[in-house]
Amino acid sequence: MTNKDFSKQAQNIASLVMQQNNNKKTISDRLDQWITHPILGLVIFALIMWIVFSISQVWIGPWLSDTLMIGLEAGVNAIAALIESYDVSFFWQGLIIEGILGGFIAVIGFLPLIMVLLFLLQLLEDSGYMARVALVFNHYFSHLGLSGASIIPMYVGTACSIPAILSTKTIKDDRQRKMTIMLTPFVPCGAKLPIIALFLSVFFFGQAYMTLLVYALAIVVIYISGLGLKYVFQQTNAHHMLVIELPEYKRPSLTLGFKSMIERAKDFIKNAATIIVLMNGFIWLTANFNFQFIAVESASDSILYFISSPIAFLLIPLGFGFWGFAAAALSGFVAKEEVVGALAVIFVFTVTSDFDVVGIDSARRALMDVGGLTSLSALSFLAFNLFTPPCFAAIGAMNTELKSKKWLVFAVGYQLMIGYLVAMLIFQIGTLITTQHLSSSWLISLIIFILSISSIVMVRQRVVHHG
Amino acid sequence: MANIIVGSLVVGLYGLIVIILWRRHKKQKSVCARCMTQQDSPSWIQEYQNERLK
Repeated sequence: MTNKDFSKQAQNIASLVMQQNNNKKTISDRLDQWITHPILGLVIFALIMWIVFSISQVWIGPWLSDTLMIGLEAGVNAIAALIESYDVSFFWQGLIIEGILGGFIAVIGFLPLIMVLLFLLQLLEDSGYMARVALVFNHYFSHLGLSGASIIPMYVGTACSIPAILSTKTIKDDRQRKMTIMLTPFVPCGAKLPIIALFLSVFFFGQAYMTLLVYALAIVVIYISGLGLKYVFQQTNAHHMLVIELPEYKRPSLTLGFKSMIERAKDFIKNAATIIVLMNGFIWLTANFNFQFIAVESASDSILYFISSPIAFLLIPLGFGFWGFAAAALSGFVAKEEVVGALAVIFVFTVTSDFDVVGIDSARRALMDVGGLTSLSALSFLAFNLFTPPCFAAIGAMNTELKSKKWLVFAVGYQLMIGYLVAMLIFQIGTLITTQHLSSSWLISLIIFILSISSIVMVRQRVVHHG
Repeated sequence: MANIIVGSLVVGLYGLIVIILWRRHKKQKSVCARCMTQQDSPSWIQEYQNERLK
């Protein structure tokens, strides 16, 4: 057979197996034109997420959380009464009620908010919408020198940074892969949700747009820090587009949404009942005892104060230079949810002599009166915990995938610098806008900012010369 | 006596937590990276990754 015959036969087969649609656009195609549009797609995404956050953080979530907290508080009070009736020592009473149960329920109290959020996100996923969102963001990734393949780890990272970092194996280009590994932990993972929920419900209750703003800030941080990495790696704009088979639009299954929500909630409770309880006990012990293991009258004599106060000094330009916040931020490296547990343990100890349980009101009082936090410094603290390096397990995953100690040190240093700078800029610029005055730490902030930018230039020089 | 009972319960709880965490750590180490990344991922991501890792 000649080539002509082959071609004719191929056309015959094709005409039998392919449908002629005469270029007619389906409803799905028409919807995709709007939904995957680089600008309109972003607006639609913001609108949908605002509805999701309103339902989960303002309407249904808080009501469920309050109901759960009433039950949990009753349970804890019953346990406290039982322990007291048996004349158990102060040490065991404190460890159980403040250390173990107080921190545990502070984290678990936010579970309903998170469950409603996860349920709604699963519905969006099941409808086929979230795959389109990946395409919307893909448009912007080429500006960072990243291909569309980098959007997949970022998407996985909304649940957990560890599988997200491991999934960068699919990126063939080494520099793009390294950049994606360093940028993925900036995506707020599931473990960071309790921190977002705590600070937004305490300082910005009922303002769903604030949650949206926090996520928008995460996108901006990824973009700007991506530009920084592009500069270091001397990347040019990438032109490899994301090629994925988009799932069909369909009516989401409520059963699937419910099952997925229950699975994620189980994981959350398992984590809170193990690593969070363990850490809360450790935080309580170190906050109540000195190095001779003698109970302290004042927190400033405790082991935790000794460890965290030098770090607290470094956090002054960020607006929260109080040792308790430094300790909570440090504990977040074990598991990010622990930031909430640690704050509950530390501030209950500081505020009350009775074994009170942390609710939203007492948390607000403790954080504002004792910690000296304002709405602005609360936002700065939230940003610091969202954008500094992830938990140790995720850093381990970064180590595995970067395959170089040198690059791991750079990655952790870069994330620390970005987290610090974002929090510092929020506090310093926010202070200037709200009070019309520069903060007392503006000069040192400016020096830190200049040094940070200089360090990026220096690293680039090293990469240029040594590769 | 009450102190000994409560203390034993707390120490037992912490011992149990450490064992659970240690086992979880061992289990997670044995899961291959590919399986871990696909555990909770939506089908369109799994298909994409399978295609790229071929």
